[in-house]
Amino acid sequence: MLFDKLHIGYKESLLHIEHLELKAGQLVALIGANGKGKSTLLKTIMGEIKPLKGRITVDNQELHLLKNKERAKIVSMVPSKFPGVPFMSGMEFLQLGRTPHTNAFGKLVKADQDAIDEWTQTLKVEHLLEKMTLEMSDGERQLLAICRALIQDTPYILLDEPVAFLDYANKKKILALLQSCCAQSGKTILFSSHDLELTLAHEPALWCIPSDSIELNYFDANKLSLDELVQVCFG
Amino acid sequence: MKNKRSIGLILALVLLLPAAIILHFSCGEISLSFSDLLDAFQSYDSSNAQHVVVREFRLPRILMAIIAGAGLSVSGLLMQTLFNNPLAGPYVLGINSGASLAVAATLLAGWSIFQTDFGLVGAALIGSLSFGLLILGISFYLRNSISLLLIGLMLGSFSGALVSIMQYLSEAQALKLFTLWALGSLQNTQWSQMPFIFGVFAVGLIGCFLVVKPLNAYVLGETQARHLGVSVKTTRFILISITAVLTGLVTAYCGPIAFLGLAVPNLVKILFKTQEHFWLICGSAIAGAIFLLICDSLVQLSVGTLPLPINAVTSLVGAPMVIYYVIKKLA
Repeated sequence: MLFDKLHIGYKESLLHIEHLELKAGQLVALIGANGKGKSTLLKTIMGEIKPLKGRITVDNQELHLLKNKERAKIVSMVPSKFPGVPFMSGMEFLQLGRTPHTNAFGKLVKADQDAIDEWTQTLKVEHLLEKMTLEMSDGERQLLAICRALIQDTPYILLDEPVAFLDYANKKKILALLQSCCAQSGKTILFSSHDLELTLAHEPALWCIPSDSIELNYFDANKLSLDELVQVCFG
Repeated sequence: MKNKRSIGLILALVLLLPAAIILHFSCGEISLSFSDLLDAFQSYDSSNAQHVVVREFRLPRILMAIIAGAGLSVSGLLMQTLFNNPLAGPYVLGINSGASLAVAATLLAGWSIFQTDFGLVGAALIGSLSFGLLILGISFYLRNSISLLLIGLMLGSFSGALVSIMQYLSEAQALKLFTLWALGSLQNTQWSQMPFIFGVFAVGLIGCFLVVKPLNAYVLGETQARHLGVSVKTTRFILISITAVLTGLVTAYCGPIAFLGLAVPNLVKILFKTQEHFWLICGSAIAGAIFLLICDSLVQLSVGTLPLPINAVTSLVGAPMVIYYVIKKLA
């Protein structure tokens, strides 16, 4: 996924990317203070907002020009919190992940069932299938939301502060899961996070918005200590 | 697992439907035997009072109860899913206010432009369809559906105020006619109108089954539905069209029947414990038909003593039922 001379925002340019590439299999953490445009970037990639200038492309296709259905086969999105839906079981929620792939009536074929089985086993969430989504803990629901995105079978997965509402153990579990999805399953993951120490421990590439700039840039995590990162982004 | 429960419940409802029809049949003022029913079709005799009652009064009324109950419940379900709100119902778009306004204009203000050969039905149909088209037009300019809910409410308040003014200024006789219309009735439909009513209803219901997939995704909210590849504007357009047509049709022929469209889909969700809309649509349609048949049976029973309007019965029967279920199943 290529970001080229990109300006995003609602009316005025909030965030600028001169040139960045999200490489296949990469785990990228998006770091920046509140209001610097992290969510806006994710929304722009998802086609909810048009770029003010510049382009976001995957295989030379501009993402915001694609139909929703085509984009949903390239990139999936996990919101920071899935609050659960009344009367919806874990299984029904996961099945929705196949929406971009099924026919007009939403019929699940063998390939769909296989994808659901594969990821529920990989993430060990079989015990949540029969459980109602409202009766789950926040940690269980977040695990399921990520499982749903994996079932959607897109090369790119975006997550908006995926660990913000979780306890310490669940934060570690989810971040480790993201790391292994990239390393073992070849997914490309872009996520925003304010849990800097935990995030750095899982060795993502860092895309940071310095506090005194609107420019999103790549930072080499090896050359930057946590204190320096805090200084750059929040100082 | 999940599907077994839904299939079982649908089967139970399918069995209850004929029972409700028989109940409705046996509650009429003029008692009829089963053989009258058969004869009215096999050897219809227009001089036989029983046959005429069956063909001209009972059957249209039963069919209308089924169509109105199913149509309003399914519309309510669509609106609850579109707006992601269990308090939404078939009338949130203001379709009923359109009908009320046109009927009030005909009855109270005496505007002849709404007076067609079909009488009040024509006026109500024009009113609900023009409000349906209006809200459909507005929906093109809105990015999110929640604003639509607000606009529907405002349309309702605005036309409600106009209706109040007309009521305030009109005479007792006209006022009574309008009040009677607003209380709803299932007995104004004639056999000859049935093909049209059934045709429109069938189109609306089939339309619902074509949008099962986007409806399922809509449960997660409009934004996530979009992320899952659903074409949000097209879906919204279809959902509003179906609701406008079904609600407009029922309101035109029966008046604004309250409560049912809000309550039945919620009861069905509590019973079915699923968000798979194929089952919810089937369940709401059949349960809505049964519910209205039972309520109208009570209306028929009340004729000799204290005649009740259908609109009062749906709420009198329905509200305690919903309260009971909510407390029992969700507490």
